[in-house]
Amino acid sequence: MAAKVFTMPRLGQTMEEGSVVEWLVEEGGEITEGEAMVTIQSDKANLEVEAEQDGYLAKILVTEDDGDVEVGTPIAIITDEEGEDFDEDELLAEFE
Amino acid sequence: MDNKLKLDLLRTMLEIRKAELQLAILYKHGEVPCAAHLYEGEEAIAAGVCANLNDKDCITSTHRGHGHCIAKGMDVKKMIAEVCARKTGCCSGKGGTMHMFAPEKGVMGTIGIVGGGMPIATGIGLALKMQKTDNVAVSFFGEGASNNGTFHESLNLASLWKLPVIYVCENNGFATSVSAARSTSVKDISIRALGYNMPGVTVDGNKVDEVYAAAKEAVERARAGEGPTLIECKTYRLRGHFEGDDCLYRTKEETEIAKQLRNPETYWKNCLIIEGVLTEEEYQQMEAEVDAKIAEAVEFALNSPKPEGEDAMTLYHTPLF
Ligand SMILES: Cc1ncc(C[n+]2csc(CCOP(=O)(O)OP(=O)(O)O)c2C)c(N)n1
Repeated sequence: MAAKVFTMPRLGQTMEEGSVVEWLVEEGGEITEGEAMVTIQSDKANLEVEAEQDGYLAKILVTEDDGDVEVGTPIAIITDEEGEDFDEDELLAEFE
Repeated sequence: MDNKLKLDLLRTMLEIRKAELQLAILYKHGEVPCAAHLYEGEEAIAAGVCANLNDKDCITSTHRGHGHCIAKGMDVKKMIAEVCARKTGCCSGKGGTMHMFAPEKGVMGTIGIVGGGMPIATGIGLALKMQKTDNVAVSFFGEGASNNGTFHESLNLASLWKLPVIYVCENNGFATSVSAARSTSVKDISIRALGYNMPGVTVDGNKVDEVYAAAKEAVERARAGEGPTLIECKTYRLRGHFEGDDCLYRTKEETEIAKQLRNPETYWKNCLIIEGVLTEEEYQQMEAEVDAKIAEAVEFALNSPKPEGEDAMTLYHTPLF
């Protein structure tokens, strides 16, 4: 059991910030490694970004209303188990 | 092919694919400071060809070169570290994905200049011949590169001088965003061999046994002093040209179908299970071992230091004295 922070991915050489266009999985929903989880707009294109592990999209931190955020900004929390407890402050501390 | 070789081919392909999938993640996390062209779906070609080579045989590779490096025996830790620009990489982290070398294993460069590897492999072939060895050189290149002038120059000289070179064209259907149909005058690249008076064959590049057999024949010819061969391997580039490519030049459906139908590991795993060489449990075991090996390599890379400013001028030249 573990929780992990999912950050704004870098989707190209020149991308410094990006925005969430659409979450393709609902908050709390199951994700599968290699399957599209979120659509991100980079400086160049709209791209579907795949989940990096099997698990659950426990919490969405950045939505389509938030506009551009820097690459590396936490945008979601992923857990191994459904409904797993996690300490959000502790997880996000290293990104402050 | 003996059973050990059959299983080794599967393991090599799995290592290549798993390394590429991890590099895709590392790229998104900002650990890869250069464009990354991944080889997912094409791994049967590198595995099938390189299984015919020894450490003294040389290859030249391309911008899409991670698979060639692994198949030719480069330490996967050093490969991933190099792609992530770490000091422990095969070129001290200063080359990156498109300048990787391991001369002790015969990896003579993942060359980012399209078509650049063919004349180098041809020159290596000349050197090997002049040194009277029975070693061979292999050049991997895309169908896009086969439209470059270097293809003509290289195949002409290699044929004229009967050099021990195997030209392996990885026809994955696209050169960046341009389909082969829109860029290339022939359907099968192998037919171009006729113009150079050398054998040319086309094989299914997703079937490692077909690739292996064609390469074996070509390598044997080359070792026997009978000259070069052109091998075209038909394949499909499952990912974008580079990471972050939106692939608007082809449909998602096309790529999904290719993913289902043209997976080289699934094909070969099924062949081995039907033949009784492998069980499902043994496959799971192999996959777990490969996962662990790649995870270890990723950790090794991420724990390694990056080159410093003071490293900028070192290691570019071999000292003469
Ligand atoms: C001489 C040269 N021209 C253009 C480029 C830009 N470029 C990089 S990869 C590529 C397409 C190569 O296509 P192909 O040879 O079919 O290989 P693939 O990417 O399909 O593996 C191009 C045009 C380059 N690197 N070098």
